[in-house]
Amino acid sequence: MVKLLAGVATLLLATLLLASNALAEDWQRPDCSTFEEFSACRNAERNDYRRQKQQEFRANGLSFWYYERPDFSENKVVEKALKDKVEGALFFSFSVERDGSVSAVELSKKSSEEVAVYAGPILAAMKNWQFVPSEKSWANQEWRYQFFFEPEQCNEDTQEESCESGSDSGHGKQKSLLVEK
Amino acid sequence: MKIKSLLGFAVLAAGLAGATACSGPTAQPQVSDEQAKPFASLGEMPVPFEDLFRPLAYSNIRISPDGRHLAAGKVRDNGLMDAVIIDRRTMEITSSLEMAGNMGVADIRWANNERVLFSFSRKSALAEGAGNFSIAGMNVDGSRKDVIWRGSNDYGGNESAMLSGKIDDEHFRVVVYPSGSSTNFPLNYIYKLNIYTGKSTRIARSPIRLSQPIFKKGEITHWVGRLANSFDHTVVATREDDGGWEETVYDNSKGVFAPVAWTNEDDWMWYSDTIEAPTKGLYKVNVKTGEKKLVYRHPKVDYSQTYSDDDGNPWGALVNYDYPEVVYLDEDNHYAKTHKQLQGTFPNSAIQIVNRTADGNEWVVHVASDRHPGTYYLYNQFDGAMKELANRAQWIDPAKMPATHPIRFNARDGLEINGYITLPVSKEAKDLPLIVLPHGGPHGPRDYWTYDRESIRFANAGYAVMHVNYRGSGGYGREFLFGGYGKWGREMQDDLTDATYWAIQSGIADRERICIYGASYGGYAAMMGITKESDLYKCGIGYVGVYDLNIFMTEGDIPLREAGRTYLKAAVGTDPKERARRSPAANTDRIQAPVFLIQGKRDVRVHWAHYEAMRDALVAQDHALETLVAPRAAHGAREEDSQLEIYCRMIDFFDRHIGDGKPTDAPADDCVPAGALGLEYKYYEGVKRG
Repeated sequence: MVKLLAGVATLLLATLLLASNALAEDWQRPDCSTFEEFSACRNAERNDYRRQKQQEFRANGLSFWYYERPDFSENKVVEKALKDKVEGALFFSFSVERDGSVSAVELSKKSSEEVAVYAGPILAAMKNWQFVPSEKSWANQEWRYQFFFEPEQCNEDTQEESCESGSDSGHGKQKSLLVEK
Repeated sequence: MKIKSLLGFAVLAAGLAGATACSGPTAQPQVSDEQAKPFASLGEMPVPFEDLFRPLAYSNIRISPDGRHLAAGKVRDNGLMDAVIIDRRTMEITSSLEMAGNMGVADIRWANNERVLFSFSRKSALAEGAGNFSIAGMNVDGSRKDVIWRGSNDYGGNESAMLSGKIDDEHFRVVVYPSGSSTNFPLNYIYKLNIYTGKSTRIARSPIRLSQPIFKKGEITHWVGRLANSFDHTVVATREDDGGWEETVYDNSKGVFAPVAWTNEDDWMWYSDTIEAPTKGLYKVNVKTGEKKLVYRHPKVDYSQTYSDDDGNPWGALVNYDYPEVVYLDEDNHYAKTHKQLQGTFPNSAIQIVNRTADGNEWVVHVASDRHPGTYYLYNQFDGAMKELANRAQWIDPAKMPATHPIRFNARDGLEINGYITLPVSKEAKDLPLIVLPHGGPHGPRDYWTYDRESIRFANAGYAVMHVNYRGSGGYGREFLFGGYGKWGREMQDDLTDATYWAIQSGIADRERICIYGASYGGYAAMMGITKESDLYKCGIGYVGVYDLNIFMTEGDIPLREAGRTYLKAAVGTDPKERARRSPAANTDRIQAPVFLIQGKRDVRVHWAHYEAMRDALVAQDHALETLVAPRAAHGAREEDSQLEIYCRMIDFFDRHIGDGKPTDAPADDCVPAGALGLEYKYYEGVKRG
């Protein structure tokens, strides 16, 4: 029985890894067309993902005690990337020890080389995460961060790629940026 | 390392509990048989007697806007309190602010992610209880610890202040309540306070007395206060275009229509109303057009308070008809939804949302009940988890605590009366010895379903304890409140008598084992109870009680003010002969039950003369009497040693009259806590007992 469950868990993990690999390789900016405000879309994406992950953790018996947000300030390279509106997704793997501390925090996948510029502050923050201690350790956990910006309003004079019909590639000029504060 | 840190918080609380226990009698060195262990004569109780006196371990836990720190008041071994900042991740205390004589952290505000403001109440050097107030600031790294506002007691009063709102990152508004002269209510002041330097600038003085300001975009638009010569008139001052104030005066007995706050819509304000109906109603009012919308009114009780979201929109109202209940005024509001969810998690508890992070993701929540004074939790809105932050009384096991139940009956004239009864654990609610415990006030205060230390102490000793919200109490509408004026010793007393008969007829109380005890007005009601119903109560205890209504008219601090004199005439009447008829001290010949009188020597609210009059009248009749005087106490003893002795002696007195002992038994000789000097106790010899 235990063996069977372990097998299911491995299969699930493999499926998730495949899914996140695919997402990382073919990352697209989330569709915000149903939102009136871009900021609302950005917040919803962030909150929905965190809610889904935390509920998933909790259902498995792993509960967050302290979630630290990445601090992107006072980092010139990151600030430039934000200014340049570099978009994409980063996937991090980590383990949770029995005492609730986090170890083996690594950048596992990225949608592009450029977006990896944000990884430093995220790794620093994740190392401070704390979970409620439990009877076992939890290896190979995953967390995702996405960076996307509001597309430039299109008009007749706009020559940008993002204004071409049907484009949602996430490579266009952006108006505002995603920074978790 | 981290597990140590995280558990450190639990260890911290346990360590604190252990440390406090060490100062109590249980951890004293072995004593010889000749030396009595304090309180041993009270016998075994479900919860050790001293545990019900221990100060709560934490107060006012608040999470920082960024969620990285917690600020709290944390009690020391000696009962005084420090302000601390706790690292949210490790739950270790990173900095603390220790103030000499600080006995309570009354309020905590995060000014920003870096700085916290603490409001302290400080121990008085002159008497038991709080002295002046002060506000201190501290940065999260422990730097810039400063007292930034200090209440003055230069003129003998205790000036207090309340942080009222943030002006900008460096300034807060502070409402200052001067203690006032002895002859007048004070005018309040508003200061702009620099939270780093403590520099303050006065920005307003109230045009009316004892008033609260209402702000709109930083400007004061209204003050709601009192008439200088009356407790029972409300004044609403509304700012006029020329900067002056238009004053409207309401007679509270006929109803008040007063602003509460501005809504987030232009021209609309929240108002409370008792004109349209006797109980308090919440209205939304357009101040330009006069349009009024009733938002909520309970038919039987006033709502106790409203809860508002970050934009000032009320989402709930607290109603205390029997159990406390939050009525959701806006079911779709995020706060209302969350509160409802939390209430489902803790169904028989009072849930208070304390504060939350700036992003609204993590919330500090306080959960309390009749059997536990409270635990702070952290609620995470993402996974819906509630995690315990701090148990304020880890030494209390709710399963061993007595439960409190609402009661309701009709008085002899048909008026509905509500109250609460606390029952001892592991005893059938049948033929129990009963203590009737009327609250003080009497006009305005009332009893609630809550963790009531006094009821619990007596119920833990095996007694049923009944609180009665007799007519004249607050909270049941203006007709009920003002219906008690002039009824001292009459209908107000009869409500207590009717409640006692209700307890007998319901089978809970043993007819032959009932005593009455109360403090202040409750002391009056206790002594009037044994005077008027001389064969109903087997004993009576008066604590800082009013015993002579004619002395009440001239002594103490109430008659010093014109408002106080007006109140006294309305409450206890203008005819000296009638007042004498309703004074226990003038009618001691009617008293049969043994009496125990407890008094603070420094009491200015109920003057020492009451105690002397009652004591001397009873002594003159060789009445079975015991007295206990607390030399440093004013209107009630506040210090733990004094309280331990007072409650030990009260329980011993009840034990001898309605408990397992006999009236002829000698009083306990082990009620003075170890190391304490002891209060002035006297057992009058040579009188008939039993």
